[in-house]
Amino acid sequence: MSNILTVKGLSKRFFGSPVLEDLEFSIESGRVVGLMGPNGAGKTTLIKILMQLYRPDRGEITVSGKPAGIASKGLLSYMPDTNFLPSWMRVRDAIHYYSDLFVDFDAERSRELCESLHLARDKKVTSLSKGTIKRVLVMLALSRRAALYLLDEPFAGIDPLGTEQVIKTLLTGVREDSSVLIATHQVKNIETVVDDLLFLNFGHILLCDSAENIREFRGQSVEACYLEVFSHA
Amino acid sequence: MNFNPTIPIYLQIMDQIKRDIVTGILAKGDRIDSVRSLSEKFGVNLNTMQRACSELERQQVIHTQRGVGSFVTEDVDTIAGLKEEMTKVMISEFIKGMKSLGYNDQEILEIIRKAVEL
Amino acid sequence: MLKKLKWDTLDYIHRNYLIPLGMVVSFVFALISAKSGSFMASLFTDLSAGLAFILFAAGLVSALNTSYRWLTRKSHLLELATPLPAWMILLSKIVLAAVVNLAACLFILQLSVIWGNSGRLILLNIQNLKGVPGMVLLLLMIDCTVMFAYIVTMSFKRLRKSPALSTSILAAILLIGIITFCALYMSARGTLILPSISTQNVLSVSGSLLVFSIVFPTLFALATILLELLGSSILLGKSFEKDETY
Repeated sequence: MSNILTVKGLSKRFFGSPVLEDLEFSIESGRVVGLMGPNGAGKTTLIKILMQLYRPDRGEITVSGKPAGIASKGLLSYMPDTNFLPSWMRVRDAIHYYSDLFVDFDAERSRELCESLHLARDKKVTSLSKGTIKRVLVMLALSRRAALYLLDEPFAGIDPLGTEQVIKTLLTGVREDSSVLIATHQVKNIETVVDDLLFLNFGHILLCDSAENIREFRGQSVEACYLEVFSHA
Repeated sequence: MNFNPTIPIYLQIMDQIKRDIVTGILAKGDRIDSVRSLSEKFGVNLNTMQRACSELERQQVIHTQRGVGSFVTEDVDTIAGLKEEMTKVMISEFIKGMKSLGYNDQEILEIIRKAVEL
Repeated sequence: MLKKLKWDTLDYIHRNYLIPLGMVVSFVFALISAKSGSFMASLFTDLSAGLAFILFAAGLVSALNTSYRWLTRKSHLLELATPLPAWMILLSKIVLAAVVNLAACLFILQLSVIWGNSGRLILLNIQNLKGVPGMVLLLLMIDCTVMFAYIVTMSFKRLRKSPALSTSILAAILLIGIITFCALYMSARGTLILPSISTQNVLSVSGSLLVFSIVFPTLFALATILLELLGSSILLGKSFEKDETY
């Protein structure tokens, strides 16, 4: 199994205080990785660095064997934790935008996702509830045939039914060799969804292991492990 | 399906499938859905499902024919073996539970006899 | 590139639709004045003129906004997440800013021809248009400089701490520097003619903004724009960073 993403020695400071310190990890192709940690742990910063929206102070990022650059941006599908769509756009405008600017956008898939996530295409995005806006962003991100999906808090603010739909999409709608990195602190939702876990606490990786290993060798659920690891951090 | 999150999920899936085979929900030689639809049905991710299926394949509970699909084993002995395995686990857990309540072997037998007669 | 331009144009129209709308109203007022009695005529002309100058200014500001304001909105994250090279993203903005500046200049010039001819629809001729390219180039250079100043500010830690101040100071320094350099060079060469604006019949611009008579400022403006575009692209691709928690 090849690595779709490799990070070495990644460090970042904001205003003098370290946000990420000497991070090192990789993501294999075809894996779903849960990036977990409390608020302010550095999850969003890490994802933004992977998307080249922030610059690391130090470190190397390799995407599909090549150093991060313009080409690698095309391999990553980003779902931010805020609404980054222009305020005037309707859902269908956003779909057309993605379709025009991302070569790997699958219009058919976006139609399917709009249906399963109950999204009305003619509504203005800013008129939607927070949870619905998130579903729109999830739909846009997952309609691309990317190598790595970066989802920043995809479940925040979504009701249980919507969450179930998003999880279902993640389980079945991602190609076998594509990977997903989900940043969240809602452990319960992703218990059965993730293959691997990355626990991030204020810039440091506390744990990097597969979910099944945690169950088999620690005899704990992911949630229990999270609580234990972070309460001792 | 509801899983116990403290035990490896692929093992629980395997148990469920084995149970279905023993109880006859999945008859011998029956075709099994694709890994993708199974993962959707069970509500787990693809890799977990894949691992369960690979392990079942290794234990010869199911076999895969390239390009055709996966099927439950036709081997009656294997299925009987599954039933035996499951029975053993159930019994030992039952006896353990009863013993923790304070019953001895005689009492346990007596209770079972009475319960079955009713 | 064309697709990016398409979306930038759509974005502009959605955000600034009142400007073209107002321009149409201005034209209507100007043309109506030809059909009305003298009192109404001067009223309509005044309305048209008042509206026109506001819209002209608004148009220039909207062009400036096009070049840099997009970076201050959340939607810049979406644009930067697309796999387009930085120069393409910026070039699209600059082209759009140039078009908007051009439209604003043509608008005010055409209207002043109509006013000067009592509301009769007489189209601009080549003589009227002589000053336009120079004007547009100057405006575009200002837009580019502000964009460059903002990107520079957001690319360096010390400057990022006070973005508004740094951008303004940097832009001011650059613009003053450019204009001073130009003026000094040209007066040393003896080719400096101060720009003058005559409002006799038609609003016309002469002097150093006349593109076809004086080559140096044109080349200088173009060079400045290109260099700023280059610098901005490099910085946008490598060092630009915006933390929303700032």
